[in-house]
Amino acid sequence: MKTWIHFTLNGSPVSIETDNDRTLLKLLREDLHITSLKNSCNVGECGACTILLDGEAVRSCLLLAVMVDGKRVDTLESLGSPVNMHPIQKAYLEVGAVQCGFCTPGMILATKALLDKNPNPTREEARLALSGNLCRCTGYKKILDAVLLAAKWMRGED
Amino acid sequence: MLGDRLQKYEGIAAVTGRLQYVDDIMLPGMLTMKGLHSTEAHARIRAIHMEEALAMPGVACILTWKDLHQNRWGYCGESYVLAEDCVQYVGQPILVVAAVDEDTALDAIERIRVDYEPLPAVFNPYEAMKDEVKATDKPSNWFKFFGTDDVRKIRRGDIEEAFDQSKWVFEDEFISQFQAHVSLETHVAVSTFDETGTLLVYSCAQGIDWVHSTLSQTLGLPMEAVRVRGGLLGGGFGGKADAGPEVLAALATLRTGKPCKWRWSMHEELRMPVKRGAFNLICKTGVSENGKILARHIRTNQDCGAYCYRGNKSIDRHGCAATGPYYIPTYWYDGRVIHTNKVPAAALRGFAVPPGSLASEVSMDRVARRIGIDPLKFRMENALRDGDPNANGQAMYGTGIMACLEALQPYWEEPYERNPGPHLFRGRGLGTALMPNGLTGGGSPITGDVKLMLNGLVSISMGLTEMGQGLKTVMRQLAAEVLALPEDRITVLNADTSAVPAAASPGASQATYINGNALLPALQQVREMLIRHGAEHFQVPEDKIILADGVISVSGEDRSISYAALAGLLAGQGITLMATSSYKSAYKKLDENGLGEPYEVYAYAACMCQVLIDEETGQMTVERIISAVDCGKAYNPMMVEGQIEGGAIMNMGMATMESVYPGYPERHHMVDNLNEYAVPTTMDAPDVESIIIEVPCPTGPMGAKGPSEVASAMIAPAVANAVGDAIGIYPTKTPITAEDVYWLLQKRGAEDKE
Ligand code: FES
Ligand code: FES
Repeated sequence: MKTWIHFTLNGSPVSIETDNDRTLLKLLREDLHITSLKNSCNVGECGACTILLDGEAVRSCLLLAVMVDGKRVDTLESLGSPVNMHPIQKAYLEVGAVQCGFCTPGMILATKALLDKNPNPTREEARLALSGNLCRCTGYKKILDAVLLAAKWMRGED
Repeated sequence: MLGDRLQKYEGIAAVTGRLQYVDDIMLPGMLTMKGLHSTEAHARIRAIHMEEALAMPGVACILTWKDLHQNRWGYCGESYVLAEDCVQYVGQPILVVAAVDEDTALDAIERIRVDYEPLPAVFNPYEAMKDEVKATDKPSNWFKFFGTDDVRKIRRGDIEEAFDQSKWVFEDEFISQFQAHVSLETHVAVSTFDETGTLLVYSCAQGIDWVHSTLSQTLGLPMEAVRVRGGLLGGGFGGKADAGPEVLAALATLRTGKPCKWRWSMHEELRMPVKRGAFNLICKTGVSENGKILARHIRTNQDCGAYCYRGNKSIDRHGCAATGPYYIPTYWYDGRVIHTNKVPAAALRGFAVPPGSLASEVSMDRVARRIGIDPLKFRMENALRDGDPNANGQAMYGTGIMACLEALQPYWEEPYERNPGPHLFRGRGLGTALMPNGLTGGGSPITGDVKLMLNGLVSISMGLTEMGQGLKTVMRQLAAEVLALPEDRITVLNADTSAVPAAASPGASQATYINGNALLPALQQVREMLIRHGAEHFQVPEDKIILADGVISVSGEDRSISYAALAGLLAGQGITLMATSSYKSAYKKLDENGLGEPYEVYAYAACMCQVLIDEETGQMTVERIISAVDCGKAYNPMMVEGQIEGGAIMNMGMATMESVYPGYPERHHMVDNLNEYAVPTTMDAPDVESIIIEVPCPTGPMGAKGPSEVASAMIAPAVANAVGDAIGIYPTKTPITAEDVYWLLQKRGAEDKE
């Protein structure tokens, strides 16, 4: 069974016909070729496939594509490009929070969702907000540093 | 420049989602592949029924071992690309399907029936050692090194005499688990044809040159008929050292003429080779009246699963490192490898060293406490110093262990509350590690090329693969330092078998050390050329020439020329500034007593962990990890910290939660996915405090050596020792789960009553 869905992807309208059992992860990566989000566990445990759904960080491997009909989906592409980086992206670079980079898109989006709601999180709040995103390389310390640095920059403090 | 906290070379692409990993390659008409894996631990394959699958529309081909030119491969020649008439572990790949899309491929797999005749299987290594039930078709479960020999030995001194002279002799048995790498990027390969019509395989392996030769052997193609590209990995940690899905992806392309992708799901990834195998070891230590270690005897059995991937390499490395970073005058070692019907094991961050550190370090703590010496003081008393022999009798230099231990002293001496609440007990433990850098037997030679281009950029090409650790970044820093120009004018070519020099895998913490050593002479030659041609250009003596910021100037004058302009002038005379150099690390082959110089250089580290234990539930929190790591010279302190922090948390996972076979060695149950295989999250990981120690490595490029594995290998014992400190009884197996702590507490309760 297929269904037509209409949603906003990174600010632009998308209309596409999709299988009812297709996950959002597959729709985005394989049908729409948005490759910043990653497929890792495909069972909701790692956060590599994180996207923003109406501003909330969610795992696209656990969502069916048909569930986003009428909603707003944002991926890392919506934040900034190499010539115009978002402060969160700059902060991840500044403190060395990127090693292999595979968790990075999901981490940055989870950070964005947190900071949009809570511009001045404590380290423990940041820990909790990112607890669904695994990173096997960094040991998380520099990622938490990046979240707090980005928060500071976004509040306009230096 | 060296010592700067330079951002990652590929960083901007990473944070903007523009890095193209192998799974992100999507080619028109590309087929999707899926594997069929054994559901049996040991069985004969009577028949495979795939007629129905073959007839399905959309199925392009089904490949079995018969389609391969050569099915056996690997360092020990034991591994199979695909199972033949027998399967020897659950998860072993039997065949692959290539189809138009994933659903069709999965559908086809479901319609294939394998007719198994189950054979007796053995999971428990202690059972396997009895050699009654055979895990494979070999005559014995004991792996034979070089023909008939099933033990690797070190014999340094007379062990019986040394134990006789010891005031105290302690013996403990330890057991570690099967640990998975869990690189977030699972194994994936894409194969196609390049612009010249050559078979091109995109690989996420750590060593694409090994993949290249494996492809050539298994497919029966000359090296020039295959090209491998790689260099962007979503994590490696040793799990991607060898070829994985590349061979069958390439074969499917050869068969169908179409691009093919084979990506392992995380479920498959956890079941497929390789893992870190489990180690069972008995550590016996003799100590003198005044607290000096006199002797140690280590007896190790490594459970390597069905096939041995690395043979003597891992077991020799283990024997070398199991002394810990201590001077031990008399040392014996017996290392064996045992086969069971489990997934084959090989390297994982630190290879076979972490289980050795576990035994060595927990023993150190138990000994220190039993003879009444402070554990830190006991370690300092026995720490290796320059000139002391290591396990194999090799004299050690650049020994940073004392500096690491001294750095920990203030933390160790800080007071802390041992009993912060009802049922809550806090403890602290120390851990150290000694890590050989590089491969046994010196590894293969590595080449680096350096060239000043007409646009003023310097291009360096190197064989070792960037695997996320920042190798390209630090090599740029090294080049910038030597050539006196900003890092952004240095480009790095890497990981394309048709374009860059061949090299082995960046395993064994050798990347900075070996690649740096390979590149450094070439960089220095280009620097000398710049000075010489600059001097000729300005008609001044060479000592008047100053190189800075990509510009050659004359000391005391305002004459100068940019590197680009000089390169242009020289090109007109037919001269290009370029150089190439290579490096192979030195070693002295082990003799029949296991004595020699197996590795060129060793790294050192020490750490302190603090844990909090809830006596009611056994629940443990790792509250603090302080790591002091000697990396010789930190080219990029930010990246060294990254290695220390990441390495610590990965090994904390080994200490507290990770196991491919939960309940090992008792039960045979294999994890399904990350829902069952827990790895540390932000909620588990404390903020690791790193201390970088720089004791220059005499043979290192600008004094450097590799920090990554040594920083990891010491954490598990420190956690175990902290548990011992908190509850008064030491765990001797990993992982130490809440259940284990609970049972240790029960055992202590029982002992108290006696
Ligand atoms: S891929 Fe979605 S959570 Fe792991
Ligand atoms: S940087 Fe590799 S998984 Fe996070």
